[in-house]
Amino acid sequence: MANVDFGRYKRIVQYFWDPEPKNDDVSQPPIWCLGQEYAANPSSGTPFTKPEEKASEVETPEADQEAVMVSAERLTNGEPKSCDPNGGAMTTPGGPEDKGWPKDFVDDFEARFWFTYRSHFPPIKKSSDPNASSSMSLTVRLRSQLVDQGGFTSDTGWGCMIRSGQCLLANALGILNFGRGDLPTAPSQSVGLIQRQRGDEEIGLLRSDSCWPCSQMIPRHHSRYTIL
Amino acid sequence: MLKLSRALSKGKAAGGLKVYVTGDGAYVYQDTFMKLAKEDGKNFQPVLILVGIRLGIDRVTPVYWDALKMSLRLPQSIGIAGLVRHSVVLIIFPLINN
Repeated sequence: MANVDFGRYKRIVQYFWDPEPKNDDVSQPPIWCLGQEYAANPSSGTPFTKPEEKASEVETPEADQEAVMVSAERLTNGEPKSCDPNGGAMTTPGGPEDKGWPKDFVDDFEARFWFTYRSHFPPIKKSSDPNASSSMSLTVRLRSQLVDQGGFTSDTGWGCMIRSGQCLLANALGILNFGRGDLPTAPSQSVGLIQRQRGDEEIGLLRSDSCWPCSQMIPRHHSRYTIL
Repeated sequence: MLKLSRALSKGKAAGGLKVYVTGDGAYVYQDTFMKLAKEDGKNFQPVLILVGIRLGIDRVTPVYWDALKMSLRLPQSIGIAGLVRHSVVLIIFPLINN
């Protein structure tokens, strides 16, 4: 019984039902986001306990869901002396829409750039290199033969690496240019940032419809980048 | 991942950011790093460090958890990019100042 791998079954369930992560750990450990600590919500907490959530993971590529690049992490404090939620960073309790996460943390997290899977983009032609198909996973190969015969129009199965890399690079550049505080959410400011990147051929990867701040103040149809 | 690394590892400044890639290992060599950061010998320029580490096979190996959490708590840490179940993960740190 100890050797049963629940991870696989969990992934299958997650394919059909994967609700947003909630902060309902009764031990209320502090939450970190890119070097900033946020005391957990002192007034929240449900009676039942949940297993510790791994906040720093990318969802499975096979699930046709958006991958969230999470830089935040949950600390588990196993020490008898638990963190005093009032002694740590100041925080304001989140509303019900924040699902138990402190509002400061949610605001900070939502201000980060968020790159995720894309679909319905102009087809990217398949490689003519004979060795190319052997480096594709089975699901990607099936999809390219059955669905996307003219080329890739979705990056499921191979996009997570690129998207998560782009996400980190964009956030690094954002912090470098705008500091650790809120990233710009006005369209003109964001375009300015990405345009600087676009001018550099090495950052051609970021030239795309694939990026907007989590707060989604830039509606999809306003973002000006097309996917590579 | 390789393309991203190759594109960034040429060390070319992008919006003022240089990139140091450790490749397959986890070592950052000080002399190589400083040569990149202080190309003119005087001014320290921001450097993004990409650390290529395998954190596990189909999940993160439990003994790595604490060290991983500590590194993600650093203000210089920008997070993790990687492939789940493909054994490739990068931990990325931009060093903004000295």
